[in-house]
Amino acid sequence: MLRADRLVFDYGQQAVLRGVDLRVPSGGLLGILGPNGSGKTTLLKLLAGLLTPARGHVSLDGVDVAGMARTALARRLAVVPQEAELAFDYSVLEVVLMGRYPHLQVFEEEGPGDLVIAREMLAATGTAFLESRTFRALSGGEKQRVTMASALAQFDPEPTSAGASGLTRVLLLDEPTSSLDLRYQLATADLLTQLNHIQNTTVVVSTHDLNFAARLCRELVLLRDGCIVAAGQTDDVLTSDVIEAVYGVSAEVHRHPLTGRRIVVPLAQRARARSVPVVVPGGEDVLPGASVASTERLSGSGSDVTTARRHRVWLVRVGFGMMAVFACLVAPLVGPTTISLSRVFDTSIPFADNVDAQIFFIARLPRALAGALVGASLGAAGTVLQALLRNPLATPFTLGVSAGASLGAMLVITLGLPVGLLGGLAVPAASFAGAGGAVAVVYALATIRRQGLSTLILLLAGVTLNSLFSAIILFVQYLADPAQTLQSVRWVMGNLDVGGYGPLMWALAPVTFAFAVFIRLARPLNLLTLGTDSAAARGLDVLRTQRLAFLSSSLATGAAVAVGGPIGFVGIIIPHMVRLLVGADHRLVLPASAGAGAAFLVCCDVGARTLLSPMELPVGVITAMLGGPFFLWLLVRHR
Amino acid sequence: MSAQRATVVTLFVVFVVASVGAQERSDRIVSIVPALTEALFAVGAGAQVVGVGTFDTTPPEVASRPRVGGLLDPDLERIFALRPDLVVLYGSQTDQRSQLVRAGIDVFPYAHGGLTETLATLRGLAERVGRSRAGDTLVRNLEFRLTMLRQQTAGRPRPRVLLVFGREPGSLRNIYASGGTGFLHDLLEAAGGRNVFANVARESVQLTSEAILAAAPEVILELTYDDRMTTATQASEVAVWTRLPSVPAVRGRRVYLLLGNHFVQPGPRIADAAVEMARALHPDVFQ
Repeated sequence: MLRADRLVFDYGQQAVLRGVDLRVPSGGLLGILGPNGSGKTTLLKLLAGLLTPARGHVSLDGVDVAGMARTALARRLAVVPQEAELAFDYSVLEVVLMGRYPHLQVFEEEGPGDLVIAREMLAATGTAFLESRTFRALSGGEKQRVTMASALAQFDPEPTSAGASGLTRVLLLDEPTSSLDLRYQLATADLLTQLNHIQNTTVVVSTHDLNFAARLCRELVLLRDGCIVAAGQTDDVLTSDVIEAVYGVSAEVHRHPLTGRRIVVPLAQRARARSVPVVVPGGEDVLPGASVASTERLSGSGSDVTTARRHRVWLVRVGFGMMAVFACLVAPLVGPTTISLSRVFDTSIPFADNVDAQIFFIARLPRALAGALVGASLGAAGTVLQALLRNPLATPFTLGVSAGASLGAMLVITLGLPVGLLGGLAVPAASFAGAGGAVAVVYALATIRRQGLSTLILLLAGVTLNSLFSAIILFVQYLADPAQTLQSVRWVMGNLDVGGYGPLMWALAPVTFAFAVFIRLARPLNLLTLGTDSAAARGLDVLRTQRLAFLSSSLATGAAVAVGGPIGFVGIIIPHMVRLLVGADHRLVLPASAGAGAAFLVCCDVGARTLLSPMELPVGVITAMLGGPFFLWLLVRHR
Repeated sequence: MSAQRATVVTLFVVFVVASVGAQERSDRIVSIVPALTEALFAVGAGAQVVGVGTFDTTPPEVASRPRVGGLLDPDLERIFALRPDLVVLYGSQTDQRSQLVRAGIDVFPYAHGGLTETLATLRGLAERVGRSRAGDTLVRNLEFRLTMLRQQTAGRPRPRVLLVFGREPGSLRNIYASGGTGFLHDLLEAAGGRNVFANVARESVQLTSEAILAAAPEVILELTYDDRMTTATQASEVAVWTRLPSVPAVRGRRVYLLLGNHFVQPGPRIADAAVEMARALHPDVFQ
């Protein structure tokens, strides 16, 4: 039984629910009705454990939902949100497989069994033919049904006989028919009825469509202003008096001569007496293949597909990794000066006398390694932030990290602060500290309001902080003398001529830590792109994921900026380029963007040190020249 | 008639000469170019200087003059308030120039260049403020000292020199050095050095570590205008170069830090700058 006791909830000043009691027996089929703003969606979110009630509690089979492990809850309670929008191009199958999240260990890949279940759910929702299509390209109705398939994939395997496990399985749907045409409305009603009858799934539906509710639900709850106005058997509750009380609209309620269901006919208020003949479609219209019971098992092809997927994952990881390694190996061999490799590695010549070896080991190799470190960090951090903010135009610098780092560096360059103490690491250390400061401010702002982490405030705070810091930087530059200004302007263009391994060694620790977090984040980020509620409903600890994503990507970005300055465009071109190549799954995109970012920046830096030799060309200029046009193309493509 | 005519012509010439002369003797001068402010004092026009730039420090008398901004932020309102009849400013400040000209104030635009241009500018400025003779003396003196320097170092082996004038403190990043043009390059040549990047036809070159390793300079001269740098900091800044051990200048311990703003201001002390460079390059000649 799903049970709510005296639920009270408010958004700040505004009370949304004022003491709602609810009992949905296992196998029940409940409809929640009510006008806009009556609290239907909030009630569903509270039932799903996505919101915490101010007072009262929700329990499933006697256990408080708030105390249940998220994944355990997600295996028994699934949510189909009103609208599902994805930030990136996932395939339909990938979206449905996301429903398997609560069944998988941290690094576990989906197995053949998961694939079978995903395909069953696609078949059950009549979307099997969409399997390999891109989710974003689907129609509203198709998206709705695929989302439903993804939610259904969350459940534990069907018990051998209905309800044998004794555990209630609940499917919560928020306005499931709002974007469906008549045919799919009926099909959805039939699908839900079947789920309810055959699989003993408890279904709770919020809807505005009174006739849909009358047709589908055995029991109804009518809300108004956060209170239950009426509750009970559909036929008892759906009366013209109740409808008038709830919606303030007069309506006639008839009984359909064939189905015996109630039919609600709203009336214009002044023409109350006139009755309108109504045609209601019959209930025979069922989608081809839209049957839970008759779904055939597809276990044969499942293992092939998952094996192929596993191969693909390794191919991508190894392929992009090799790309980065190859770039690092080749880059030190290229340069304006001709060096002989045999001389470079000739140990009979003392290093102090060996110019070739010094060019290789002092001038070129640290640069290549710095390029790899910075490129990998920016590429991966860009990917993580785009997923976190669900915004394809986000970059590692969107949240103020680079501006904070620039300010730190600027202060050391112009004020000549404790340079003696740290030697050549003064500027990197100051920029890292500045990045940390910016991150702390943005994070504090984004969490100050409510318990969650608001990505909108994160974005706004980041953008605002960026311009505020830029203003301070301009002010500091204005006060500085021209030579210092030149130095600081030059720093902002980025430079990988680290002149040694010291800065790299220092950056290695934060970058390694960040990447360790990235590896864990890959799948949670996929869920996060579904939206926070959908992700939470699939058992993801959203707040923790958001925190980890923000802090780890900031750490990687801060370290990268400290080493190479704020080198632009790597963090936006690379994730997109990689997505075009490997798709949207972050388990592929993350390692690939790290590898591609490293290779890309190492190559750009070879250009920076050779194109105008002996002059250094700012590497940020090269990445921007390549990245700018790409970015524009991306913008045009997205419109 | 001819006598009358001669009188008229004579009067006219006298009038023109007088008026030109009057125009050239500026009584209230504002200069925001440190090298030229210094030059104004050097040619005896210091008393007429009523306003100076933000970065002017030489001679010490400038401290008593009101500041009116610099290269990036000239404050026209303050300049107008000082009622100057001549403003010395940067040639790139074209907007300010046209505004001053519209207000009927004469301008002397400063154009950056090599040694020849620097000397011509000094001479031109002195002439412009009615101190042609003092200017002439100043320039002749500078020329004489530079010629002496050339003679003293003539026939000596000319070391290959890297002339650095900008670098991120404590590291070998963002190094700016003199290319083959500009007064610093010319001073280096006069001081008996050979610029390793003489073939780069630019005044300022940002260098990679590789370029320095490949160029293998025998001497590194690093200029810094910060003359308050502590000896400890100086030592650590010189020590930074040991990260490039194969560079002959590093191995031969011939990395010199030269302090003072005369190295970056093409003004009346350029001969001092050249002499200091020569001392570092040819220590045996200059005891």
